[in-house]
Amino acid sequence: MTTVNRARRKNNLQYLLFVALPLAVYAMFFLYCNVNTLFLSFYSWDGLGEKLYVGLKNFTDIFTKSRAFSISLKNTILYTLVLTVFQNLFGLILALFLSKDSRLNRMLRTAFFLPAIFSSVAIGFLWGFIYDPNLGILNKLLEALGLGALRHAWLGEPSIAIYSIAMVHVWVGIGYSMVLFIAGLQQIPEELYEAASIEGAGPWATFSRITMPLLRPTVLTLVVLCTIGSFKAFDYVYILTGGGSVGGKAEVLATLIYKEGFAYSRLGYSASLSMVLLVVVSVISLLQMYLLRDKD
Amino acid sequence: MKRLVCLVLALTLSLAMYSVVANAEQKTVNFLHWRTEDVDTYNQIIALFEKEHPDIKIVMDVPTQTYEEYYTILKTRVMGGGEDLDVFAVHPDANLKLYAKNGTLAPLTDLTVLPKLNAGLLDAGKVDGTLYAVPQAMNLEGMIYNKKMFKDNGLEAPKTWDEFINCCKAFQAKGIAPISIGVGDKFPPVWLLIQFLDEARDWDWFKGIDTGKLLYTDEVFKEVLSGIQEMKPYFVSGFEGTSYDQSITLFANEQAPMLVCGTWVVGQLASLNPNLEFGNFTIPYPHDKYATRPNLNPAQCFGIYSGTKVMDEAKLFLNFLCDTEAMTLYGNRSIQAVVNTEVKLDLPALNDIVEQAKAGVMSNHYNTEVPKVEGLNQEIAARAALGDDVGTILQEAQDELDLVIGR
Repeated sequence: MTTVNRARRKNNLQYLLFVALPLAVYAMFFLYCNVNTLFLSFYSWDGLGEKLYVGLKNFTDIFTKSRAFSISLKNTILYTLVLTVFQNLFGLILALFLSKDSRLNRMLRTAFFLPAIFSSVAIGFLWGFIYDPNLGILNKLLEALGLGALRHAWLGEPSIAIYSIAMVHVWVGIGYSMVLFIAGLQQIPEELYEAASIEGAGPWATFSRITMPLLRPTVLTLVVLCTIGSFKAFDYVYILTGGGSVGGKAEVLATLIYKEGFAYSRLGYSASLSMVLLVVVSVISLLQMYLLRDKD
Repeated sequence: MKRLVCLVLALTLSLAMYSVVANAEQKTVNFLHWRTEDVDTYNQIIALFEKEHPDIKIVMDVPTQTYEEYYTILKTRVMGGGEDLDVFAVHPDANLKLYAKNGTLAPLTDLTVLPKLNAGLLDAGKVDGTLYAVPQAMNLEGMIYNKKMFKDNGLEAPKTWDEFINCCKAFQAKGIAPISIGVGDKFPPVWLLIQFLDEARDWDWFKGIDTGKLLYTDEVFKEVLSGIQEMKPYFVSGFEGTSYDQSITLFANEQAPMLVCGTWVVGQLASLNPNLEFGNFTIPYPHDKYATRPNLNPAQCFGIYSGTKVMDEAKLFLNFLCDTEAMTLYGNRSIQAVVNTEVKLDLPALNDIVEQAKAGVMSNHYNTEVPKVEGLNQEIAARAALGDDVGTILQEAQDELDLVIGR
């Protein structure tokens, strides 16, 4: 064996050793779990007794008979739309105002980013108090401003509960989007704006012809991340409504998976719901990446 | 300096080794339940037990008070091999049947304390005739009411449906929201459902839900949900988003004269507002179609994990837990009626409950082996409280149940 080949083998071995541990963790906590879940989705199992093979029955029940699945899928899509649109829209607006480097801007960026690092449980409890229909600050504030007609049971009324929960997630995530957008904005060469200014381009033309196209990669990243994150949304829904309460009308896919598996001891059915969620998220993410790709 | 550090390390190691050896002689019994409000009381009981049995250490774990969360935790511990599972609480419903039939619970027929316990309530812990879990306390579901607010408005605890509605109207006329209920947490409305069903039907009837012999679309469910909807105008403002805890606070602060809850809340109310004068009554069946009768709900039932390595010690602890001394302490401190017939409690309200319980019937909703039924019961009651169409609610619930039972 030549010296070069020996050195190459030695390097390859070193690389392998470096990735071995993360690969092992990935295999154990991701691959094994997902493959196991896939197998379980073809069974009926209460978690304690014997598994009973049922073939595709779980999947046919989900798509043809389960009202709970339809409601939770609809709520999940609404949640995703609200989160993706508003978190990124507000994040972009904040980024545009706070992208310049100054002491005040640095302080404001920190303030807006703070919710992203707090515990979701703490945030859930906090907003539970804010949204309380009788004692909560939101309704009290509306009353004080003479807007008592806008008082609601924010987490109790089926028509608005899912939006109320989604807005909590938006509040948490705005800072995160803002930070990524600021990073994207700072990548845009200043000369482009100077050239546009010389050519007589107004603010809107500058924004739509220069800023947004060059922010496309950031937008794509955030849209995909928001979509994946919101399809898996569990913590805020669970904490704020005790698991999609209000007669199940704030149920999302993640809470449905949890309840079917652990509260109702239907682990096989819960596994099949997980597989459906995996496919849905994958398809939507791929679709987004295709639609938002750089066509140049 | 080096010597001093070595000496300190050596001492520390020795102490650690000593505690390991000392603890190795002690058997540990893990004790899992959901009664977060009784932690102090159980600590006192545990202290008494450990004084009598210094070779046994009880490690109590109360991770949550929420039904679904508790069973998630329990199930994951069982599936994980039950290393830290010895004595644990279980509801006498489908979960008891599930864990008993899967061999998770050990039979308890040889417990020495059994003759002292209410025989009728012991049935709640039996599966196919074998006792697997022992109830410690009992509750009645119904309406908790503020005696002073009733008296100040010239009212008494209602005995008929019309009297009940008239009480509600009387309070409403004076600008007082009559009924505090935490629909925001979904489970409180089910106590109305359960209570009405127990007045309408007996224990054996509910078993039919497992096989499709009893359907959610049957007339009695329609009557019951319609009755809940007739109560809706008298719920506090914002009830849709009011949590269970907030509903208790509203009642304790005397902002509502009635609270939809069971008698397990008595201790909590007494501590929130020691001056509160309250009692409970059974809500009459809608339009008095059936006689008013209280329903008996065994509270936490305790069982022993069949795979425990400390079976003798666990049984010793369970015997102690249900015996007269511990139950007297528990009943007086947690302010709950207990299942031990030798216990005499201090609080008159508890003796009222025991008195009412004599005419009570075992709550039939426990008589199912399908865990999803509990969730569906909660859902139909919550949706009825929110004003959804009764027919639609029940049909959709039955469709969901059909998926599970394969009907």
